[in-house]
Amino acid sequence: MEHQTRFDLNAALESWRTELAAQPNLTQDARRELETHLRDTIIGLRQCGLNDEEAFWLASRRTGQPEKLGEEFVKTDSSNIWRERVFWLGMALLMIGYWNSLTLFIRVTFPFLAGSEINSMVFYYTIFYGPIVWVTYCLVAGRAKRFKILGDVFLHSRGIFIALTVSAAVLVLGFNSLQLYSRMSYTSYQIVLSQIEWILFPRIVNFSALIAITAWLMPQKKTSKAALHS
Amino acid sequence: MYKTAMLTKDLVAASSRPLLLSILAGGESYGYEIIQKVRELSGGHIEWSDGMLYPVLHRLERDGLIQSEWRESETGRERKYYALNKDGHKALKTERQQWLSVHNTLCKLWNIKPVST
Repeated sequence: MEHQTRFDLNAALESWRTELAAQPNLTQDARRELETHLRDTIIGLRQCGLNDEEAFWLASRRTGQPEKLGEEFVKTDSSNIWRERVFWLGMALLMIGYWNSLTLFIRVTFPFLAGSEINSMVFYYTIFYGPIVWVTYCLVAGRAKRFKILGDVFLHSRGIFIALTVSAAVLVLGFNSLQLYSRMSYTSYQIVLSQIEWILFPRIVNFSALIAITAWLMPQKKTSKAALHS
Repeated sequence: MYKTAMLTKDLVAASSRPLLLSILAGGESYGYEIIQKVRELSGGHIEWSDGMLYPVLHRLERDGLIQSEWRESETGRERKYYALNKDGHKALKTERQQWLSVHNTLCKLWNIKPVST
């Protein structure tokens, strides 16, 4: 007896989306636009009387193979792809910068957590690299969904992005200033000044430059997939 | 009976720019609607693939001729709408002159009444 399995449109769309996401030449914005188009085509074909499976099959054929789509996009517009790549590079540097400032603050403020100076170094490298390795692993292993909410909030609009990144910079730089201030009791004023000059000031410049570059390069407004899936 | 053939790939690619600018001159639109419109206006002789349309739209946007915005449609779903801007209107004027010039030259050669530019 012939066994027929029920076609799952959502699973088919998810699989198509995964295949599209694997194309390095397609920006997030382009992928989203293509998915919207695919869904529009499916709706149009359903109205013509096709069932879910037929509509999906035909719509995905019309939209084109993900590999071919990637080739078409890079042929006509490679600048957008590089724009997005540089944006994420800037974001990574910015996040590492925040994390570096924060872990340094933890290390100096709570030395008793580590004990000896050697332990302190081990402690610092563990809390600094541990989360970075974990986040990298999640991204590489395709488990990036857990960062989706964070991404949705950060990339909602340029205004929100600037407000959040500047606030985070002010916060970590505030921690670093406190760190320097606390040293004033046992270090000479000259040393504190030189640390402001060599540690704090370059960080302010770095954060400002990275925030400006990433805000300029940031992709268009990102909205929740719930709206897209409705 | 004479039957109009589908346009060649080169001609489809060359005409995509003036067609897109002309469609958007009539009001903002989104990818799926644009493809449907082209299919309808050409009587099915111009068949655009999605793989071709979006990169061209993105290039027009990069060239500063159109602008786009993600917005919620009447159905509640988000779509990326494209609209022609001031430079786009200027570019359309130039495209129109160039295409009509080609058209009129061919009309003269084929003894068909030309169109005024």
